[in-house]
Amino acid sequence: MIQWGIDGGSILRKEVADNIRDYPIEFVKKIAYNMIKTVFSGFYVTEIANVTNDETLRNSSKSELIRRYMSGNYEHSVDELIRVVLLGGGIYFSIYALLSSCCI
Amino acid sequence: MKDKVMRITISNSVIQLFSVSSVLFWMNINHGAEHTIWTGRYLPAAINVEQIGQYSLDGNSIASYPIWGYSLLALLADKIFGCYEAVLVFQYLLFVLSLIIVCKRFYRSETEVILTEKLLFFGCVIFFSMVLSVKWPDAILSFLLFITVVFSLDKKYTAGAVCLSLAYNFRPEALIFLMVYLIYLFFVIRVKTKLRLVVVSLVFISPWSIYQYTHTDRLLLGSSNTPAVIYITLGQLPGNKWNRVHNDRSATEYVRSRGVDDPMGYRWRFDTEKRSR
Repeated sequence: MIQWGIDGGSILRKEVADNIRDYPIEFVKKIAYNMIKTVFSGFYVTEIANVTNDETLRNSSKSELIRRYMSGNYEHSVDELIRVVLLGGGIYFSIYALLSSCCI
Repeated sequence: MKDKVMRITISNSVIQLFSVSSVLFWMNINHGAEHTIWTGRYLPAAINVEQIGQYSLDGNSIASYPIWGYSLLALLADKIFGCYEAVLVFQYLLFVLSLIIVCKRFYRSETEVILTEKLLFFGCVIFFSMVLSVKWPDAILSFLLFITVVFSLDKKYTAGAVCLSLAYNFRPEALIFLMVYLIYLFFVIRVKTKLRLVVVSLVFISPWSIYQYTHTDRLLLGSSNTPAVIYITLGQLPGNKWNRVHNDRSATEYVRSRGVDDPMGYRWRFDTEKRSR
C-alpha cells in the first residue's frame, strides 16, 4: 500500500481539521484577518524581521518603521521603506492573499 | 507624423522605465525576504546535488522541503556563471524578457497612451522588477504566471499548462493554479486537446513525486512543510480560540509530543534506512 506524505503531516492535518470543526467561525475570522492583512500589508511583511540586524527594528511594526523613517531616525529608512511599500502591494500578493487565507 | 512622434515618446518612456526598473532590481538584490531559506535550504540542497548527487539538506537524508526547482536553478547558475547567487542573472533576464513582451504586445499599435495608463504600467513593471529581484522561487513563479497569461491570450494553451506545471517545481501552490487553469480550459474554453494538456502537465509535475517515492517509499505531492504551515497559520489570528501561536516551534513541539521527530519532513537516510525498513 502506498504511503502518502509524512507522519508529522497527517498528525497536524488532523489537528487542524479538528480545530476548524470545533471553531468554524474562528476559522472564518482567521481567513478574513489574513486577507485584509495581506492585501494591505503584503504577504511577507513579517519578513522585515530578516531584512535588518537592528534588534529594535526586528520587533517593530510597520507603522513604527514608517515613523522612524519620517523622523529620520533610521539610517536605512528610505531603502527599507521602498522595500516595504513595493513588496507590500500588487496583484500578485492579492492572489496570495486568497491562497494563504483559504489554503495556507 | 503624429505616429512617429508618439513612437519616439513611447520609446523614450520605455528606455526610462527599463533604466529605472533595472536600477531598482539590482539595488534590491540583497532583500532579506526568505533569505534564511536561501542560505539554509536552497543553497545547501544545490551544493549537495552537485557534490553527492542527491537532493538533500544535510548530506545524509533526502529533503522533502523545499521543492527542488529553485535549488536546481541555482545549481545551473553556478555551472554557467560560477556562483549560485547568479540565479539573479536568470531572474533579471526573465524581467527583461517580460518587459520586451509587454512593450511589443501593448505598444505595437498604440497611438494614444494616457498618463494614468502609463503610470499604471510603470507601477506594475517596477513592482514586477522588485518581485523578480529577490532570491526566492516566487520570482520564477510570478514570471511563469505572467507568461502563462501571455500564452493564453495567444491561445497557446499547452504552453500555458507547461509553464504552470513547471512553476509547481518552484512553488507547490502552482498546482492549484494549474488545476484552476485546466478546469477553465476544459469547461469554459472547451479545448479539444484535453489529453495532451493532462499528459504535458503530468510530465512536469511527476518527477518530484517519483523522486520522493523511489528514495523513500512515500508519495509526496508538493513539499512536506504544508501541514506544519497550515497548523501554525491558525495562530496568526490574535487571541485565537485554539491558543495557537505563529511559529515553527509550536508545530515541532506538537508532533514531538506525539512521537514524531520532524513536522516538516522525514529523516530518511540514503539507501541504508530504506533497506533496513
